[in-house]
Amino acid sequence: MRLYSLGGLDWKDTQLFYHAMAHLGLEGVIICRPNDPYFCVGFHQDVQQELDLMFLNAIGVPYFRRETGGGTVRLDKGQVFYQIIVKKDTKECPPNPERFYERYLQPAVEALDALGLGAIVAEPNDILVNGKKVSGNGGADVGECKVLVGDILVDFDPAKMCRGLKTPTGAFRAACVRRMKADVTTVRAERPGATVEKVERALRKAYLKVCGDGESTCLPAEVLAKARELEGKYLAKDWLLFPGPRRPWRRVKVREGVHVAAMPIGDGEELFGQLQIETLGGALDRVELVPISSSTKTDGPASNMTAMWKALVVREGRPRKDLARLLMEMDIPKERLDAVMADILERATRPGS
Amino acid sequence: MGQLVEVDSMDIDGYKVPDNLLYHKEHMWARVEGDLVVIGGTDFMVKLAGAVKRVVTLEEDDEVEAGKAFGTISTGKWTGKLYSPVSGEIAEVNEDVDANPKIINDDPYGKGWLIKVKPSNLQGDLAGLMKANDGAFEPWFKAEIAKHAKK
Repeated sequence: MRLYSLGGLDWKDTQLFYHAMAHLGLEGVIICRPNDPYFCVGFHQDVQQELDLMFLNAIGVPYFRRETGGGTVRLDKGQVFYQIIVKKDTKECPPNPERFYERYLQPAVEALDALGLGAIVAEPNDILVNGKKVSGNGGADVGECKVLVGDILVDFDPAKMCRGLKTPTGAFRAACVRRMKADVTTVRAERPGATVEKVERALRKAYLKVCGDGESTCLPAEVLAKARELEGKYLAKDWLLFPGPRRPWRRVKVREGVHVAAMPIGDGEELFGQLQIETLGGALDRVELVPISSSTKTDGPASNMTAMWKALVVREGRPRKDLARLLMEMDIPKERLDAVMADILERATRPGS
Repeated sequence: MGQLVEVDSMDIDGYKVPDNLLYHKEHMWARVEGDLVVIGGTDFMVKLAGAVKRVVTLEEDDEVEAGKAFGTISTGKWTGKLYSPVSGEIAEVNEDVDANPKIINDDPYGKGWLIKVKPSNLQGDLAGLMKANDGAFEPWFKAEIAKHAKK
């Protein structure tokens, strides 16, 4: 396995190169960073539900849908990527995902430790420093290879990230920014003076230990050719805009165990607003009713929402089932659903909520 | 499709292996139902995967090939491939799985079926699959459990 230290790249090549290697069945580790910002969604996500495409098109920020799992991220020159491509059914490739992550995330942890940061892996695959996420990762079977891709946040702007997300209300976006500021950190925040170049050097040194075939600063010609061939597929509308499951809610995962979600509340004729929920570590954290001021009801949107919320949620029916499914996606254990829904109702109908 | 009728089921190291199904080496199961073959992921496969977030498959009328991927399964940590045990044409896709992927975890052999295929080489493809009560199955399965173990 060879280490490819590619430095700054055209944004789309930071995705196309590792896809190309995987489809060619070539092993290696790529370390790189994008020269320009873009948004990147996971394989199972729906771009039109995740991103504010009108805004991104207006400001000229592109987006990409990768073959690996994980969530939506805004990527720019403030992050350094590490991308591991390993052929399946070889001794270098643990078949169990947890063991694969353990083996190939360890160098990233070592790199951060070498910079003076006490990094740990929080299962399944977040890397934390001082309890906050500093690196996100995703894995997949691509072609005949297993692929693990991650980024280290040297710099990261939660406001820019959340501005590109599709959000039902300003309050939802503000909650996402607040949660990201609380639960995500950067190398520079933890070590002022840290630079992208220092992080790259640390990553290269750490990953060189698992790459027995040395280091190169450029990829083989066949990989470059394959990347150009795949560009047509991955930038085509039918790939980018592949529809995902339609959900009657909006949820953003900030990091493992931390979610912000909103579910609309209405009466079949009119939308009154959103039930906004935040969970932390498998437990309910915040509940808020966010009214929409354009409601035509005369009693005031907030009181109507409270009454309507009670009527919709207390009895069995679609809204209650939808809320149960949403809560399970937010890592609330199945056996705690009834108690959490009762807690949500109590908090949502509390005077002043 | 109705619920899987309760049948004899082996338990091999904590993984359920019904006797009335056929098994592919990529941990998929197949069951002949009239002129179709119903296909899904095994208890071992879904436990290894974890809580399923999404399944994406080829669509009705698409061709599938024995031993080749017909879709992907995504959890919070990984996006893996789903392999077809038989060749043929997809006759039906389980839309309940798209709406609620967790049914794959909850009932992998019943409501969590994935696709139904009109087979093009039924006898040939079935000959390449394993039965739970074949002598070779348990040693192979235990070796797979060991290979995929966390530690």
